[in-house]
Amino acid sequence: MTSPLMAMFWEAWQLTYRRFALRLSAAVLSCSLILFYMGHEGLAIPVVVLAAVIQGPFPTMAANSAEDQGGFPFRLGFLRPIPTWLLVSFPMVYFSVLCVLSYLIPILILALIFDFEPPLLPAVASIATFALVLTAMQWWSNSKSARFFAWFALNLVALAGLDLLNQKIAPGEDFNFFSPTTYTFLFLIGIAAIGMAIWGVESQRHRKESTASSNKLGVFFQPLLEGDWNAALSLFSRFVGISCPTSSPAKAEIWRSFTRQASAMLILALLLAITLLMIWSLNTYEEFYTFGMTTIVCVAGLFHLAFRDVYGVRGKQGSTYLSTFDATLVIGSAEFIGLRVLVSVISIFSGIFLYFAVIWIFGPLVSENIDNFNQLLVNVRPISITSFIGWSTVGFAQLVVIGVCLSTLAMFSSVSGKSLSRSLLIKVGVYLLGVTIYGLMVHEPGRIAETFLILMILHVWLFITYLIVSTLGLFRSVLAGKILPPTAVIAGALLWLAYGLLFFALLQDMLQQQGRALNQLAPVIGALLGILFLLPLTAFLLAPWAYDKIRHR
Amino acid sequence: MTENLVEVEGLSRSFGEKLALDNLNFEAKPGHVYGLVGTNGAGKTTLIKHLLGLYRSNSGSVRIFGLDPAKKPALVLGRIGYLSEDRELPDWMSIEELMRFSQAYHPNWDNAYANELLDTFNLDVSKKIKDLSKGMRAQAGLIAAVAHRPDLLILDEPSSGLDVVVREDILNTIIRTVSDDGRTVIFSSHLLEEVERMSDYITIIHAGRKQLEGSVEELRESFRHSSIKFSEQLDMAPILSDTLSVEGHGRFWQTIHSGSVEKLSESVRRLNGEVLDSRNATLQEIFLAGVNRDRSKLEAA
Repeated sequence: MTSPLMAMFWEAWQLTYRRFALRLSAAVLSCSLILFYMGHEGLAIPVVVLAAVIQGPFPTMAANSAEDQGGFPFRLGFLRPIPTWLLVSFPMVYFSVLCVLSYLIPILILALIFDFEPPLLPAVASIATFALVLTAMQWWSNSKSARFFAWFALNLVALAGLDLLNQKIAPGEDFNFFSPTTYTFLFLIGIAAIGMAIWGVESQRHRKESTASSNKLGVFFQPLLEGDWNAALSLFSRFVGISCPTSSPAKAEIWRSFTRQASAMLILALLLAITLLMIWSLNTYEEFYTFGMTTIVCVAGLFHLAFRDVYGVRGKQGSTYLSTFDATLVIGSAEFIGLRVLVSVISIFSGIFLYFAVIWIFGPLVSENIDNFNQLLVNVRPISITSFIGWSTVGFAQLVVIGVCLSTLAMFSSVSGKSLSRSLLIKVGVYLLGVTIYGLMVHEPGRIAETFLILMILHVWLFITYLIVSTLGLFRSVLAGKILPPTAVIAGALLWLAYGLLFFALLQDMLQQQGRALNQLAPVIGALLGILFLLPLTAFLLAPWAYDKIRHR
Repeated sequence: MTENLVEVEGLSRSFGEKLALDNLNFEAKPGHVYGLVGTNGAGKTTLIKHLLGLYRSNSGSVRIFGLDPAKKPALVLGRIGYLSEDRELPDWMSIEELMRFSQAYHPNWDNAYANELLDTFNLDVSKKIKDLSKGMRAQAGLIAAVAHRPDLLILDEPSSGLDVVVREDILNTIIRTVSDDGRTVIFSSHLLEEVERMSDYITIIHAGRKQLEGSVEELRESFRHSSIKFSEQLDMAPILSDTLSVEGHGRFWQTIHSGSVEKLSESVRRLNGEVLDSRNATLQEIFLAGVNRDRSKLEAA
């Protein structure tokens, strides 16, 4: 290597090329499959797939970061004898190019095979700008809160900018044609993003005062900007005056979980509600549509926050990480897990409640027209209150169960690390490849669809069998290892049965209203519904069992 | 006979191909300080993690207070104080919050003792853990580990990376005080001088096996360092009875050996040599002799 630039290129290439190649192959394969079955009608789907692929380099960057500090990931570079502008701008441009190639290569291959005209220059310009902005937002500060607020501000600016662009600057533009003004606009945004990143990383490199801890935003926001979500919580705790209870481990653990989670959720809910109110006040969008979208984002965000790292187990540089502080707490694994899940559930509730409360109270003040709410109520099928409460309970239980299952799976994957995801990816890849080759060989779309359906149903049955066997095995292990105390087992079993009765009663009721019965359902559909009944039990057993396995390895 | 607080029998544990502990036995009685010594990767932390129930054994058994710590974590951990080598503490808490949080888990938490230690170490309770220096972090972690006056205090490399002042605070203020109260301390270190000074009993672990064990006096008295002179040059180390190691070249050799000087002299005389001088071996000499012997065995294998 003859220059720092070459060395940096070599380093960046080594860190990214495997995943880049894998993602490209997966994108081409899956898009080919979709287009093969759906023809040109399915052209929108590859765009979604490629959008996911384009984001690929970003997690790669984070995963290769040596330190878990946030901000600029290549901190070893701080010691290299190169100026900060080069240290920052090179990888930014590199990742931006990688993102562009992640789009260009698959779309050109697909266009060649399936004969269509893809959007090129506008797409490339948008992706490159998007990549630069995304990188800058990730790198400019090592404070999570500062990054979050910057994102928040950026989204608002982008919203207003797009609105302006739509209305005034470039009428008639679409994704196949951008005017020179738009290209200039995108170019300037890209340059600004690089400048912002260089400025932020310069501060991190020389350990100046955190770029986030500026006094300009005042004393009230300073704790939010100094650290991360925890700072927000400490602000919340200080404000409310909650100190850690010392009377029992359970209370202390609840305090900790709330301190770690609840404020983050409340702040997210509040910010989303405020965003929605601001958008309404601009009065340029349909309120109902915006309300629906923001609510989905809010619930999904809260859900993600509540169940992310719920057990404190995570992968760290390729191995499982459960701090010895947590592992040596004087509390049983089952109790610990139960408390964590309970707090997560209550936190979600609190966040959603706050979101709706803010909208409910302040909505009429900022929006002249909220008739869409009334429209919504008229359009909703009249349902009985018992049905509504019943389905809400079951729906919420399922949501929690999915959260618990996902967190537990994340815990597992952090144990198995790369091997689990890699083997799964390889299996899915081989399966897709097999189906594609078979399809191409037979060349009879009708028969392929039929084979595909049979295989799908077979997979569903395999999954169901696997789940039943696993649940039985888990039950045996939990009882044999005395992971759950007998009272918890009995209470859990009773709760599960109550849930099951409610679930099937509601199902029966719904089917009756449609003039059908449970036994008239196709066996595979019936089995899938049975899975919904079984899943809570699996989650109830899996979470403490998995935690116990990791805690006592 | 005093009942053992800690009983480890035939403990083996491997991670993949690597055998971290190999049929290890260890026991600890109340009221003593036990030092675990070994090179990096010898198996000290693995043993400690078994004592805490964080690892399950492949074979053998671990009993703390007569209980399996992996099966009854809450019962066992309630009577243990532990400070890890990397002093993992929740960064987002202040020292005060850490104290209150730890207190919640220990009904017999001694607030007066905790405050006394906070004063001794001069710690500002409003400070966040993440803002503490390495030494202050160790001190805060240590208070959280000892303020409930545990029956068993386990410290994994407590002085690793600390300056002399903090190290002395930990070693003198804590370890000796705790053991004087009739409680037991197990601490690991690779600093032999420190272990020799603080421990009543020493266990030397190497490559997952217990190499030597005994009280400091026993170990010192049972091994001797002797210098030997032979009448002719020797190309390879002489084979002598009861030796842990023989090092040197030509006519002059040194050995660390158990047994009496007379017995060694007899063995040396048969090879036309004589013992020039002999003294009690230091712990460092015993330790290095043991490690080198194992290395030679491995190389020969």
